[in-house]
Amino acid sequence: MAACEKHIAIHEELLKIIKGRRSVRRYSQEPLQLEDLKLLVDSARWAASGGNLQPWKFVIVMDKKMLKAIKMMAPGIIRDTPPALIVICHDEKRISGDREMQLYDIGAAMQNMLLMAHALGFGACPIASFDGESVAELLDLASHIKPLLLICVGKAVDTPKPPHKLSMDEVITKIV
Amino acid sequence: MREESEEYLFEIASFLIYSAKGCFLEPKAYGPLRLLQAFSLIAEIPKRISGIPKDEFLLKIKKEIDENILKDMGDREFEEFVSKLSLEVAREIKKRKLKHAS
Repeated sequence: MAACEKHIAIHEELLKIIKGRRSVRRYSQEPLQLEDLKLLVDSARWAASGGNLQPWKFVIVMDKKMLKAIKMMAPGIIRDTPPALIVICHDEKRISGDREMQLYDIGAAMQNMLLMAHALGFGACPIASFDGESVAELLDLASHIKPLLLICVGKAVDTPKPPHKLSMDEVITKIV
Repeated sequence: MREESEEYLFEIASFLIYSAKGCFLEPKAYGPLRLLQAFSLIAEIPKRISGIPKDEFLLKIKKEIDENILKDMGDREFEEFVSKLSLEVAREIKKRKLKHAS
């Protein structure tokens, strides 16, 4: 296979996963396996991070009572209580320099996790509308572990249609 | 049932507090979104708490909200949706409150 053809094949394969991912908010109540959730964390920990600081920590939540309690603190969980969720936290002991820079790293970890969830056949949805302080209190987290995102995960029962995306011409401001 | 009722009431109360906190930081359109979510929770009270009669009109609006709030709407479209709902409520207020007026 010529180099270019190989690139096209890889591009198509990866883009299929990237384009197929949706924010899924309706799940079957089928429980998830811990091993599957660990696969998601494994993909997240391989994200790029400035200075390789890896400023993240993860909490895997599968307990039904805990899931319901977290939902009560998360107006962004608009539909079902998910059968599992992963709390992506900022480990503030690993801050070096600008905190904001590390938020980009955590965003990259989140995207890895979402893509892996989709590739494994799960539906997932990132939630930022929740109260991190309250979730930290609920989970008894150490004071330097700050919840930033919730990733709801489950078997999708309703997958949304693709949303409108800006075209390539609209997003490429300039080619020099 | 009493325990379930208390739990549901507490669920609504928690939702309101966390929505209020979120409104300080979140995008502007999330404020009306949270109020519509709150409407949905309130419309479901008769199903979850005994002794309160079912209100078909509220359930109809709830259905519309649930079907639409997660659609890929721009701010303007969302505003139009909320305006449409308020007009439906206006007609219902007229029907309920003015039905005996001369």
